[in-house]
Amino acid sequence: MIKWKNYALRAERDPRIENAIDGIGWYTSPIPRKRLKELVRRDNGRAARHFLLWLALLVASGAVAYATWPTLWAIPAFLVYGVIYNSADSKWHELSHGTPFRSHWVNESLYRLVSLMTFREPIRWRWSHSRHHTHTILVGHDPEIASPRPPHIALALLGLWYLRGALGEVRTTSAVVRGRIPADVASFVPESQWPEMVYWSRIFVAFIAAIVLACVIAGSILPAMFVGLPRLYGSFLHYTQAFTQHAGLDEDILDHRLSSRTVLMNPVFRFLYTNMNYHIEHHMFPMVPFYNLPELHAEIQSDCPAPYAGLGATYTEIFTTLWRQRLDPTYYARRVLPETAGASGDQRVMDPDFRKVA
Amino acid sequence: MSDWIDICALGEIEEEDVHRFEHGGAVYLAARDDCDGVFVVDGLCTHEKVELANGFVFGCVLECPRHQGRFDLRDGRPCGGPVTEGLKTYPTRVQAGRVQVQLIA
Repeated sequence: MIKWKNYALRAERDPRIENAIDGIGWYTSPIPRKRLKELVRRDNGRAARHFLLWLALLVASGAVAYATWPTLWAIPAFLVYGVIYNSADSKWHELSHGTPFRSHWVNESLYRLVSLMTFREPIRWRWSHSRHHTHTILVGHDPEIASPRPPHIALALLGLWYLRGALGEVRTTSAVVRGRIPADVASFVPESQWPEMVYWSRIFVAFIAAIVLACVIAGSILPAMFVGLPRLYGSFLHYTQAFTQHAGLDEDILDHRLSSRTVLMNPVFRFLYTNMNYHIEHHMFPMVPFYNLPELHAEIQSDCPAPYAGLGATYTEIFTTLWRQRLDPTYYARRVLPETAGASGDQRVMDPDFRKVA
Repeated sequence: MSDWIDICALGEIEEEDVHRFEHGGAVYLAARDDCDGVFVVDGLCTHEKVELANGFVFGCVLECPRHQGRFDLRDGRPCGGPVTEGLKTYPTRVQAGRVQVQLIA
C-alpha cells in the first residue's frame, strides 16, 4: 500500500489552513441576496408533504414485507422496505442542518427519530458534519472523507452494506458509553458537549438492546428486520448515491465546485436521496432547504462544472479514477469550469506535511 | 453609559434580514425580526467566527450561513445547531426612523 497523506484527524487545527479559510475563504458563486433570501425560506408545508410521503411509503412497504414473511416474496419486499428505510440517512442530513421545516422543534424532533433509525448518535454526528462543512475534503481536518487516497476498494465496497460505518460506530460508541472520548472525536466535539454525547450514546445502546430483546421475546429476527438490520441490508442505494459526493475529486482546495459533485438523478432517486445529488449547491449554500436545491442549481449552473448525467456517468469516472489512484494517489478527476464561471483564484490549501510520498 | 451610535435608517434593513456595520475595528449586525423588532449583535458566529452578515433571520432567530448555528436575537442565546456560546447583544433603539445602538465595552 502506498502511503501518501495522513488522513487521520489532527488534534490541533493547522493555522495555515485556518488563515486560508479566513483570508481566501470558500469560493461562493454570485447570487443576488434577494434571490438567495427566497431560496433559503423554509416551508412547513413542503417539508411535511415530503416527510409524510416518506413515512407513508415506509409503513406501506413494511406492511407488505410483514405480510410476505417468511416466504421468498419477503426478500424483494424487505429490499424495497430497506431502501426506503435508508432514505432516513439523507433526511438525517437535512435535519442536522435544521433546514427542512420553518418550525425548528419539528426539525429537532425528527432529527432525533432518524438519528435512531440510522444509528447516528445525534451530538457527535452533528459536530462531525459541521466540521465537514468547515473543512470540506481538507486532509487531516475533515472527519468525513469517504475516499482517502490511495483508495481501499474492498473497504469502499463494504459500505454498500454499511459494514464499514457499522464497525466504526461500534468502536466509537463502545468507548463513548464508558465516558472515554476517542482522540478523533475529541478533535471536533467541544468538551462541553461530551456529557450529552455520552448520554445519547447510552440511549443508543439501550435502543439496540431493546431491538435484541424484542427478537428474543418474539423468537424471531423479524423485529430487527424492521428496525436496525435495514441499515445493513438496505443501504446499498443510499451508499451508491452518497459516495458520489466527493470520491475521486480534488482535495485541499477551497472550492466546492472542484471537490464536490452535482449528479442529475431521476425524481424517485432524488426523493429517496432528499436532493443531495445537488451537492455543490448544498455545500456552497447549506442554508437552502433540500426542496429549493433544484432552483439553486439553475441559478448558479453557469458558474459550475457541468452536472453529471446520472449515476452511470458518475461511476464511470469514479471507478477509473479510484483504480488509477491505487498506484498514483496524486491523480484525481479534474472538474472543468465553464468559461463564464468565476475564477476560484488560488483556493488551494497546500500543506506540505501531508504531501509526503513513502 | 456610552453614547448612542447611529447605524442606518430602519428602512435599510428588510424584515427578517441583517445590516452589517463595523465600529472600532469590530464587526456588528443590526437585524430585524418578523415583528418589527430591531437588534444589534456581534457580527461573527461564536462557533467558527463566520460572518453572520451572510446569514438570514427566521422569526427572531439569526442563523449562521455556514453551519446553521442559531441565535435568539432577543438575548443572543444559542438555540440550535453547533453553537454553545451565546452572541453578544447591545442596547438598541429606533429614534426618528434611525437605528441606534450603545456599544458597551
